[in-house]
Amino acid sequence: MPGSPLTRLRSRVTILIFLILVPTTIVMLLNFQTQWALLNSEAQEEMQRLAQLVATRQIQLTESAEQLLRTLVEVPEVQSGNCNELFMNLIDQFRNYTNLYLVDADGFTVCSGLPVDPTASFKEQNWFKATMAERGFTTGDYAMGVVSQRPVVSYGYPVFDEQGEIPYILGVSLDLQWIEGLVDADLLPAYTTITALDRNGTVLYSYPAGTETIGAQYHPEIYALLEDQTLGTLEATLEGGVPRIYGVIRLTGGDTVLVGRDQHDVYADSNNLLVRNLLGLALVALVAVPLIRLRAYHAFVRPVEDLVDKLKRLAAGDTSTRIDLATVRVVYEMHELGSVINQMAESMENRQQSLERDRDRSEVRVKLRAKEMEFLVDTSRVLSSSLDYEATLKSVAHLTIPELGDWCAINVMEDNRPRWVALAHLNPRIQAEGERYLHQYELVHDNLPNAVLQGTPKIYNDNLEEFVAELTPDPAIARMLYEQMLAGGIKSVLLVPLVLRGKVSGLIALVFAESGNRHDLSHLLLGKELGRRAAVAVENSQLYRELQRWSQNLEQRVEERTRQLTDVNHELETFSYSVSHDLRAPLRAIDGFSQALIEDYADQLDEDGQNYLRRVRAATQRMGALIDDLLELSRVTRREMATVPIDLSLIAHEVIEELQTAEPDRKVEVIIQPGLKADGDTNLVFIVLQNLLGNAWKFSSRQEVAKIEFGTTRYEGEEVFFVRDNGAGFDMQYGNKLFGAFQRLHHNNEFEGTGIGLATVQRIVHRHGGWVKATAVIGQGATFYFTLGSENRHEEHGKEAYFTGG
Amino acid sequence: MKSMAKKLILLVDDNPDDVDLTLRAFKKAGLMCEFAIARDGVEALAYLQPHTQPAELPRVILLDLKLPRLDGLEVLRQVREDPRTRLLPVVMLTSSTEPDDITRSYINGANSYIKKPVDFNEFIETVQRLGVYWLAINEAV
Repeated sequence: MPGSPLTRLRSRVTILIFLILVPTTIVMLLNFQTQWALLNSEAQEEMQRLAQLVATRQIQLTESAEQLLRTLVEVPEVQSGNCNELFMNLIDQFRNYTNLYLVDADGFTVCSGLPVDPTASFKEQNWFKATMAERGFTTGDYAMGVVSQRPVVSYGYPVFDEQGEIPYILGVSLDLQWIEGLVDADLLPAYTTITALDRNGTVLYSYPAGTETIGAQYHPEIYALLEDQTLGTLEATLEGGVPRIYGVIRLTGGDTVLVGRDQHDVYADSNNLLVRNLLGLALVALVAVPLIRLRAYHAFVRPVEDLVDKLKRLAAGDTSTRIDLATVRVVYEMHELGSVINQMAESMENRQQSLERDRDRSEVRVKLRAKEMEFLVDTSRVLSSSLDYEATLKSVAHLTIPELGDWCAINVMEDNRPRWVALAHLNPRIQAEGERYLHQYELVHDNLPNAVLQGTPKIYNDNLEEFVAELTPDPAIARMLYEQMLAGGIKSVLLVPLVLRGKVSGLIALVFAESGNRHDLSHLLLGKELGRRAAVAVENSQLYRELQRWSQNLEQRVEERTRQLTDVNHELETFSYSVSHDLRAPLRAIDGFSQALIEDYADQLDEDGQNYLRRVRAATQRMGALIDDLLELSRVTRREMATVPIDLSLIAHEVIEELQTAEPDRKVEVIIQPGLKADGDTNLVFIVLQNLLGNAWKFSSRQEVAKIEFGTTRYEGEEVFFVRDNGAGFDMQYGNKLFGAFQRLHHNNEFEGTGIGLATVQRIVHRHGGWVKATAVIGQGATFYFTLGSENRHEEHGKEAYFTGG
Repeated sequence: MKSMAKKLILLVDDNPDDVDLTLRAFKKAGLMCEFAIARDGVEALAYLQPHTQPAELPRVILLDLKLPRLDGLEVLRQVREDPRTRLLPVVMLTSSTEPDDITRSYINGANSYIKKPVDFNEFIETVQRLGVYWLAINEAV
């Protein structure tokens, strides 16, 4: 052996040094591997937690949209399709929505908060089709808003009529740019990315901005991996070529949220430590080598062998292995080395144990988060299930116990006064006692606590004095309350404000007492989320109540008016009947007996006397005519209208024939445009033409060649009917008196008339939704223009039929 | 055809002026007939009852609508219910031109509905036509 280069001390020492350094390095690397695994597990858990947080916000946005739509379908304006103004106001108030719209069953817009192309149909939009098919709330896909030119997601909600058909669909577009504000950037670790996808894998938003293209398809190879994950992690190199750890959550609807963190960042501290340890090891080796050279082989070969053996066991994973420092104390460095190895082994053992503990804890935490998610989903379901918020909040209060407190009390501001609306305890008997106490408390308290008004939730664990100070400014009452709380065994209070758009509308008080639990950060976060959702529900239902009150009031007023009108109409009818029957009878007697006098006593009356009697009779008959016309005027107002398509040309011919029969000697040139059609009540339209053509007939009687025309023309841009004559005309100065009852522009000895005909005409055209106007020149004739509603129809232009009387 | 002489008309009207004028109008129209006058609905129905033993039923009833005690429509209804009188011609002779009155009269079985005109000359003309039609032209049961 001597002489062999391998057996030389130098060589042996060198070999020895390797023997020591190699396993030591291995141990160190093993140690770091454990550390990396721990860091990785921590990062995964953190990413999952963040993904859940973001997902919760996303669910909430969808639920808010659903609640808004659910509330709106109840509103009368929406049901009647008259909602442009309402929508304009709403999108002005809710800036996170780019537009609200009501579309009919063919997809055409009925109303909209923003101006839209009325010819464009939503029929092919997936949310429209989905809402029609599912007959319920649906979420559409990512789209670029046509009007807003911003990325949006649309939601649809059907409006049902009484037959269960869907005449309208209500839609709302959520501005995706709004989502970015949901994540508190300063809460995130450095180099964190957030990406949300819709059910088709389209990117809805990404943080920081520009990491992913909004609206683009997400990396398909990654998206394929996500298909059946509900909650998980993955490692991938995507954005900017940076390897990342991703927390993934996939929601029921198929939406996905990914939160990623740079792996380099995760391991940075650990890697620095590794470099330092390696350097330290090298230093130890450098110091040890000269010492080893001086010592005898036996002095350290055995210990080294022992070391190597132990190190092997360590390397095999037996972290409980320790080096017996007594065997290596001969050499200081060996002793040091041994103790360093022991420390490492201990640290490894600790880490391994801590890793195992962390794994257990992590599992517990994931289970807890799943439970929290479930709780929030349950809460949301309860909150959006009904518009009666008192009942709803009572159910919510019961959902919070025992997880968030042994007690839960909810207070809501109503008419600027706080009111306890819900109290929950697992034991109904204790709950009943608590309710009595709560009502006493209401008396000393007329505003929400300041801590609540600040809008952030707060925990009171060991500072219950501070809590009672919030409740009352009076130190004596505070003292009393504090003692009552201690006596009641209250340990911890979590005060959560109900906040919506910066406005505090109430509070949720969660109290731990007999369970001895204390509120911590997770309770606080969950409570905050609950507060936000409850506030939305409270606002929605208050809004709904107000709407209901308003519409009930309106209905009542309409009913009252209708009743008044019916009464008045009834009175009018009775009056008309009396007029019709009773006023005519004496007139008949006057006329009849005057005639009898003229006939039977002619020899006893001189010419004057007979003349007077004739004038009595003329006046009587005129009064009879007036009564008849007045009756007709009142009848055209009262009579029910039966609107049918009618032929005005035909009616005009009938009227003219009647007039001609009554005065067979008159020669009048009558031109009636054929095929004049309109929708109206035949009897009433007959009265219109009877009066207008009758007037034309009467006032053209002094003309040598009388001419009457009936047709259509354009008047102030509108297609209207006209009746024209070349008769006496009238002074336009008095034109405004023309349509009043008893207004006449001619003396009775010129032209006979009661002055009621045109008033009757005006009432009839008004009842049809039309108007009547007249123009005239004295001595040259008059033209009357009228419409029957907006739709005057006529056919066969150009052909004219001539009807010449004589 | 029954005998041309002595045709009986039942005139139901509460207004004595109207009764006189109607009688005068018939006279002026040159119609030979006899009148029974009832001043309200109850009298009219009483006249038509068998225990009063009228020599014969009237050829036609001229019935006003607005009557004291029992109104014209009720009289008409009961006349139509009684098998003895249900085929009697009934002419409504009234002041009302309310469409409701006209409709209800025909629904209850009126044979004719005539408005009393204010102009007496017109009334004579109307009465003449009415008399000729119901007493001479019309073939009653």
